[in-house]
Amino acid sequence: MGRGHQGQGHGILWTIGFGGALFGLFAMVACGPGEAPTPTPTATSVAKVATPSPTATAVPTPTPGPKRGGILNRFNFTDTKKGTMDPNVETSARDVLLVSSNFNQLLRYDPATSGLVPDLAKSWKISADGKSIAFTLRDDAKFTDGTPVTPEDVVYSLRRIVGELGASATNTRIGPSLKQVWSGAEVTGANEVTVKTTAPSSMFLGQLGSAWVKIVPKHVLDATEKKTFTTGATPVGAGPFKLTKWQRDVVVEQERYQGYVTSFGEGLPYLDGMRTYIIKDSSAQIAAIEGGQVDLWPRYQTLDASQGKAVKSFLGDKVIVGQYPEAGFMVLHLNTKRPVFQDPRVIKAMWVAMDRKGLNNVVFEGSLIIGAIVDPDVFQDAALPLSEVYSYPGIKEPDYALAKKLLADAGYPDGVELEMIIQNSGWVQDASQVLIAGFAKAGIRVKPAVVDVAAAQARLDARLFDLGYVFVGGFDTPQPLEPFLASWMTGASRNHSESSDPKLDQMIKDAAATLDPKQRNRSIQDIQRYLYSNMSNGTVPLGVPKDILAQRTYVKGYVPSLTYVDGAMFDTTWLDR
Amino acid sequence: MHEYIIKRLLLIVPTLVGCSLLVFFVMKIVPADYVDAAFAAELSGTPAERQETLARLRAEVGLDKPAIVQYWRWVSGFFTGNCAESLMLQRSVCTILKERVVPTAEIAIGSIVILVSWAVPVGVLSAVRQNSFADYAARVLSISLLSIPAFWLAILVLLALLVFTGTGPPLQYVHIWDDPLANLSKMIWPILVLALHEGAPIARITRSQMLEVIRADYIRTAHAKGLGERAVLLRHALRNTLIPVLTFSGWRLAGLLGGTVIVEFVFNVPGIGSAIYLAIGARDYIMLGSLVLFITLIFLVLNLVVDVLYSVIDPRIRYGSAA
Repeated sequence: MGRGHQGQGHGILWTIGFGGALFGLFAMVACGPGEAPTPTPTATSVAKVATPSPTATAVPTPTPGPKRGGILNRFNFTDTKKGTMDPNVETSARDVLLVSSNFNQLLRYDPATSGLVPDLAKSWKISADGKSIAFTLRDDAKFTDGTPVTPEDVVYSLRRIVGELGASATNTRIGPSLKQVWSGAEVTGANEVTVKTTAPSSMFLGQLGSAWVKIVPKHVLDATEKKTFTTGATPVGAGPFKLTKWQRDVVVEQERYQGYVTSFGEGLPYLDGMRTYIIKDSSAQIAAIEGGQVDLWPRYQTLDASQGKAVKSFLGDKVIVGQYPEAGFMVLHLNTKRPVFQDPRVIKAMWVAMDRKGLNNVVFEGSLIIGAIVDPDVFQDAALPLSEVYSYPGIKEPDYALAKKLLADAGYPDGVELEMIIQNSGWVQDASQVLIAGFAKAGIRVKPAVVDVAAAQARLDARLFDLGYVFVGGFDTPQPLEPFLASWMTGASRNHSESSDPKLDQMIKDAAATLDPKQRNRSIQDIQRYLYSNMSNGTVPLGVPKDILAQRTYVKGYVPSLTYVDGAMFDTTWLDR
Repeated sequence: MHEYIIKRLLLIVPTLVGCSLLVFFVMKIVPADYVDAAFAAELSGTPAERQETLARLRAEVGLDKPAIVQYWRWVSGFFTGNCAESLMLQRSVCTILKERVVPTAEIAIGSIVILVSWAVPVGVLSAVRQNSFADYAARVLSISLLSIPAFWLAILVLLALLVFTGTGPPLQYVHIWDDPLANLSKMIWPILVLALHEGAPIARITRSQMLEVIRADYIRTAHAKGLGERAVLLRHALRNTLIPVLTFSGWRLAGLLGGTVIVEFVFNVPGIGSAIYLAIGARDYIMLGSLVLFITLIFLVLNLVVDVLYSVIDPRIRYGSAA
């Protein structure tokens, strides 16, 4: 049966031809349309931090001709962690992107200016001693169940955040920060709430304006055992949008809340609603924005350079892809409890041997501000000029000779051997490889320990590392003192290196207590000088990253905020189509 | 035969118990637990405050209990009908399974139907037209599809949709009984990817089996008796060819019912495969263990079905004490 060996020669030629055609088809699809010359990223203007005004009442002028209507389609990487829409329970930045727009705040950060603006509060006044803030509230705000938002709700919400209503209801993200100077909150008038602190704090007002500080209905939560919204429950809030559909791990749909009022603007929100898909895979995420199924990339996670180029190349003029400043910092933690790091010369050797330039060239394609802790573009008065930062050895370019000398002086003429945790996510692995290659040139032989995200975090917390993974910390509020409070203070939550420097601690505390912004900024600069000139701290700055984000050109009124979370209200966003 | 089937069914129980112990043990020895994975990175405060919060969170989900207690709480739910709650989704794992098995089953069954429809005929054609253009074309196709990883094929399909239609498949999964068109417009793509990818080895197996069978004496006899080619193929050759194809298909169907992680992720299908991947990352031993048990059960049952079907296809095969 069959034709046996007949036509075998022709058969082979046909095979080659067919195989070639098949390959060509794959190649054509894989390569896609010819890559257009990549235009210069057209980021919106860099938001410069405005000096917070205690009595700010200005209503921002909307962009000419905001159109009402339409549904904004977006996506999030995950659904909320505990299956609630409770802003105190769902505290990761990704959760906030889902939860935020259901609730309003006393005051908040305007993503366009990064300044504090009123929301539920019409105005506020700080006392002369800096230890109390009196908020005058709007009297026309209502929750989605029709009940008015009262000063009692505000006091309840704040007390819940700092943990006065039980551990389960505490906001574990912003609560500890507020608690540091928290004294109490009380209703002090028909529409007035006064918040008191134990000491003056330059950070406190900004922390009250963070996207984690949401106003919730006392009458709803007091009726629950744990004072939280229960799993799957529709939240009752007074934010610009209200939840209408929630299919766990699939989609969240919201519609415009007609009763929304804010001191931030009139007649908001412009949109009819939002639809947020949960998309976990990066290919699917890119396809969603390229295919027009979502309108913007979420603030939380940057596109990498090649992804940004691909999206721009595919969509051309239909999309804005730009680099945006991020209120964040990138560091490497050295476990200062390890014997090798007891000698400050070894720590300094690590500081100067870090190939930040290579990192910027290879991984970040020029978008990293090498060596900086505070972004000089955003926090000009608080950041050190880059010329000064680069005057310190080993910051702009690694100084391997100095590193070797330091190690030899410390008793390690043949170098040292260390282990580095590496999270197995794309750019972190790449960044780690660049650093490891650089360290090798200084005689620092680093063995990589690649683990998944959960294991990496567990090892970091348990201090089971010599070198931690390349760590990017996002600010909770766009205040330049944040990274120092979070990462360089003794015992701070992100001080994984367990560095302890009493002088540095005092400098940071003094800066936090300084209410005069100019003086405070000078203090912040002094803190940076101290870190760079000593290079003895185990939390080593790598630089300040910029994020690459994309949004369709018809999305107007949306500015990616400096922090991951401050732009998640979407009440000024509108669609020009 | 009945004895054999009953014995196999009874063996399922100890197999599942062993499997549950294994997966639980593995989840307990890997670094980090659910609370570490979900919350540790987001907590502020002093180390003491963080540890207190982590301890509270562990107590809330029972991770502070001894391992044996945690194990029993998980498995006992299957006997009482009150299934344990997934740590990361805070719902009964049985409910989650019921929701997620539907899209996965749709992909699995759809892929099997399509792959059998193309792979078996292609394999047969390739064999009976050995060394012809059709044979070479079929072999190039099957080897190419075998070599291309499913995830890459999935991304390629996604890209092709973007390039040629300007949009991707729908992002939201809708049940076929709610909106058949919306469902099919989303699900046809993962089904197609898996049908192509999983069909390649079946085409290869069918071809090699058919080549062996058509050279057998009884086939020559059938021809000598004057039977046409079609009759010889369908009535004699194909039946014997299908035995290993059946084994492989059954095994693959079980695998597909267990969910194909990457394809579900790429096409945003809320199925079992994506749930397994998420459960591993989240260290949700309850969800992961339950899904693994489910997949194990599928494998065991399908293997039994395949073995029984053998005896239907090939009357020489008999099980039990009479075999």
